[in-house]
Amino acid sequence: MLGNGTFRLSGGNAEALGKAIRARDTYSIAETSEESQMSDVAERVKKIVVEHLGVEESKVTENASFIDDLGADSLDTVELVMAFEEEFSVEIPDDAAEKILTVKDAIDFITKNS
Amino acid sequence: MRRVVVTGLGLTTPLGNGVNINWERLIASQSGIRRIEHFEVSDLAAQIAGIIPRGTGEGELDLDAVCPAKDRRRMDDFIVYGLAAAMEAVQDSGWLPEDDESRERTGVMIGSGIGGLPNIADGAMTLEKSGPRRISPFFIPAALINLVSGHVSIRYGFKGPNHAVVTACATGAHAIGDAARLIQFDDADVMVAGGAEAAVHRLGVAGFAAAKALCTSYNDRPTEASRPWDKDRDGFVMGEGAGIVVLEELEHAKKRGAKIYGEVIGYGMSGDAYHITAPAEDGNGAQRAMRAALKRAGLNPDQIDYINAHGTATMGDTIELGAVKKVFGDHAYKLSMSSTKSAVGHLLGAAGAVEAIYSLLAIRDQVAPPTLNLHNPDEGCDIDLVPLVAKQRPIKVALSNSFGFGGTNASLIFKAGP
Repeated sequence: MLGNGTFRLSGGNAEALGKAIRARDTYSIAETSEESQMSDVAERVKKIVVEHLGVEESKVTENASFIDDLGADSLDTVELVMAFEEEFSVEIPDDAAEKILTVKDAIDFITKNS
Repeated sequence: MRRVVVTGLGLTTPLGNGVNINWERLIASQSGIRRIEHFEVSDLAAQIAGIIPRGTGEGELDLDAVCPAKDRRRMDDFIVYGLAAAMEAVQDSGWLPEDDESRERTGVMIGSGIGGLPNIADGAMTLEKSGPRRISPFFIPAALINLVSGHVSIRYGFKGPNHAVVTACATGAHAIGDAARLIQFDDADVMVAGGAEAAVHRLGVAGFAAAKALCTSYNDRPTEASRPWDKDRDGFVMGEGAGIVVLEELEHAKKRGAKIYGEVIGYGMSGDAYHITAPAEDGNGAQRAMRAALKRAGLNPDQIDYINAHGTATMGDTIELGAVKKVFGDHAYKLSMSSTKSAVGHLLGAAGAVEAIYSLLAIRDQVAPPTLNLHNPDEGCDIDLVPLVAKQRPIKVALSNSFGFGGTNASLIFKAGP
């Protein structure tokens, strides 16, 4: 929800969460103690995809394409990349971002670069 | 000239979500003004507003029923409110065509006074603190005023004229008047028209307070704060919400057996050419807007039964009343005039559309809604201003006034459907 201060937050440790609130209160990033322990990159990537695209978890397979399989449009993919940057504290340059088309692409990039 | 009727209504206002609950509560003299609790107000001069009740209960706005949370990231609240009211209006009209030709003859004209102010304010903070790479790709489309029309057209496949009016607090009235003209000129057979606003935000309140426009003496008594024409009024109370109507060419509506709330028979516009925020002191602009609407309607002043005034609870109230007396002469003492802003506050760009709907319901039920908190009428306020309680009376024709910053004026005239 934009405005009116009703933001639901999810994901990341407390520090990252604080950063996320300051950086972008338009995001849905959820926080619970178990989630903050979550370290597996693939699981965290999938979680972000589920939340941002509003899709069933079962559809978010590693080979799923954001646009062709998960109903994202070009603006969604830009936002997804921003969410990955936030969650994993990595910078994803535009030319690299253009090549992140599937869940696996995202996991691979993050694993190599974080 | 093609005739235009109203076949669908949609409202989400501080009195509640939905036309019926709005009307019920308005006629029962209830107020939608309350303390602002969703952001810090301790350093603001005005700490109250007309706020839409949110939730899943009766009369509450359920955001998830408007669109999923994922999609709400793409829209500031004014768009969500506009969509909510448009959904009700479209459902109410029963006009959900699936063929291309009908869809191409159906347009949308929904405006807003300010647009995505909360989103722009938050985006500016993000830019300052975290830099441009953290600005959302949805930042621009979430804030653009014409995106209410955009979202409504996308949802229903309405491919006719897609337009948006921006004339401050006259937006909703201009949108309905202009959309009616598009139908008259055969650019469309059906138009979804109105206004939406969600500027009850720290920046919006601070801005209007700085312009000395807001009520600041009733922070501890919110329901008493909006008091048009009362001696103890001290400014307007901001409100949020949306009012949307479905306008339709008369024969088109008759052919499909649509329910008709009333006919748009008059629309008049004028400019003050005077001051950016203050109305011309002689009410000249208001007079000319009302006269132009009467001329278009082909009516004499004595044929107007009810006026839904702009009536914001500012110094403008007496100027508007003076203009009414000049236009209507002795008949000013026979008609009834009220300000429904006394119950919902000033919905800015949505106000004209919300008040047009209240005017249509006044015709339907033959009842003038009340002006709340009018205990001691100011000097010269000696016509029937429907103080405190609603009034049953014959209402064949109603006029609704809306005036905006910049000196822009619009008057709409409705009569019962044929």
